[in-house]
Amino acid sequence: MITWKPFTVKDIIRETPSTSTLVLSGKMEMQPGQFIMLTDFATGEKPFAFSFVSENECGLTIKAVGKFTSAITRVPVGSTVYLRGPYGNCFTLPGKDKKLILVGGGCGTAPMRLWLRHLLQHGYSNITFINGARSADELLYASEFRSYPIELITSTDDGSEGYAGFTPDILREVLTNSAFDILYTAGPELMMKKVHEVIGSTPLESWFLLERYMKCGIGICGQCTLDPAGIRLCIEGPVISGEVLNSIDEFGTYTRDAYGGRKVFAGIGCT
Amino acid sequence: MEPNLSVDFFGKIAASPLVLASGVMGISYSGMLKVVENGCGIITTKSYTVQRRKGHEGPVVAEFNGGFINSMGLSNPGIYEGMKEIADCKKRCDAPIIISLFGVTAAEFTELVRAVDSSIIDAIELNLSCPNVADEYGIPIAASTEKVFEIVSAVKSITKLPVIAKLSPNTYNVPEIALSAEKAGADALTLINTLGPGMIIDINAQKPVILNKFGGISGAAIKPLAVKLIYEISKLVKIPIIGTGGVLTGEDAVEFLLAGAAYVGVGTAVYYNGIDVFAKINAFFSSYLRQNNLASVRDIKPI
Repeated sequence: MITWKPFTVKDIIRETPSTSTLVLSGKMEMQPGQFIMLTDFATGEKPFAFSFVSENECGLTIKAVGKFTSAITRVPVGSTVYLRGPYGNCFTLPGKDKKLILVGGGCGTAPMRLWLRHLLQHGYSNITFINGARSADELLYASEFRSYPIELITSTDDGSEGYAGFTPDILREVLTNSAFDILYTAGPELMMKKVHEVIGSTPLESWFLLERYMKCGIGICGQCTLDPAGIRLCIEGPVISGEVLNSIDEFGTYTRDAYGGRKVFAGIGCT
Repeated sequence: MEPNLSVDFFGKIAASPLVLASGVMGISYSGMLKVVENGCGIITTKSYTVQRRKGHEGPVVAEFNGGFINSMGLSNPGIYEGMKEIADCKKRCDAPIIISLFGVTAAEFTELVRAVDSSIIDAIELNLSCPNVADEYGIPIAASTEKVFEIVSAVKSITKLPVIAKLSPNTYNVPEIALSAEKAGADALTLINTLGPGMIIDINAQKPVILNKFGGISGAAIKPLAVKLIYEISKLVKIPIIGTGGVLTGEDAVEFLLAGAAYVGVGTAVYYNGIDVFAKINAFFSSYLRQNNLASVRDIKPI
């Protein structure tokens, strides 16, 4: 049964000029990779992945890009928002001895942070994290990540912090110098497409957190299917393996808009 | 011997009498293919309009104990984009495809029909549940015998494709409307569109769950109404009926055939019983046929 669970907005953290984290009071049972539908019953409803969960709090890191995301990141502290879910598949914990590399670009760093915290809580120690953004002021959780026992690589498109360049290019270099077992990534699709190309035919296992326009979130409207396989991202995704992506010809090429028509990805936004 | 589930659909062969209901999974070619792969015999596309429509902001779906209400808002990329999507589907599968068209006036419907490429479409379904009053869900066209007659006649006069009138249950005179559609030349009827609309209020938010306030009711709650109208109307008309409304299981689908449906529409069940609900219903058809010593799904005769 679809039910909306009320959550009080305990705090709103301004992470970057465009991105805020809604800190919500209450526990949400979910697995990293899964998503929820968020609404205010006034402006709209959109899918989001958590950026952190704890015993009595959870957080949604949201970039204000449209009417709903602008409104929901500006609600007064103490107001109530509503969640349904969680939906979709999730990341699964790998073998303890595996060497892991996580790549987060822009807002994609939010769900990668949840996965990183989850891995650290479960005692994983062999983790490299590439955290990329357009510029220093758009970089998420920079100081938090520095406190973790991980190999942290920071990059910005404009070189204002860390390495100058796009994350897939940084990844290419990292992969030349060291070997990994599993890669996890979330970020702009064009970035993930390039990450997928960088992995190419290497034996590196890879998992991509994809995003599509989701209307129902429960597998009936068909708005989020991936061509040509007909994968419903809200049910069979949003975590898709690099192997499956080999046969998804819309990956990095087009997505579907609110109308259901094909929308070609613009040639920018590859953080 | 394996029971035969295949049926004739206006001269084409469908692997099963199951029809994907309009509005479910019918937006992308890959979504439609997925449904066929999972055992659906006939596809109905999302309803197309001439101009593209964005649809409503969410929440667009809400659930209650007896089913769902939805208010998608007829989002679609427009008939011309839609035809490309359907062409991509047709290239990859043989299942008959019904294109659903949504208009307000006969002129709008005929404009849509002119945009339909009849080489890749097997039938046209007219979504006649449009409100003809100012508010979103007022009195539908489907409540007016004259308007239904006018629209069906206008469409029939310009296309050779079979024309299916999808009727709304939200009027006292559905049998009269059905007769009017048949008289105007309709080749089949789809019974029934969503009921209502209805409303669900979230008691925590103290607000309507659906942002657009109201939504069409589907799911188990509307099944007895669908069965009754199919039963009643199949005795009045000679044209076949696609029975739709609350079919969740194989038992439901057999019940619809017994009521007088020639084909059985499946929609909301994709949520309740998964994308493979079509295969599950087909498996039930087979076991029901074996149990009753029948060779074909067409041997399940209306009561």
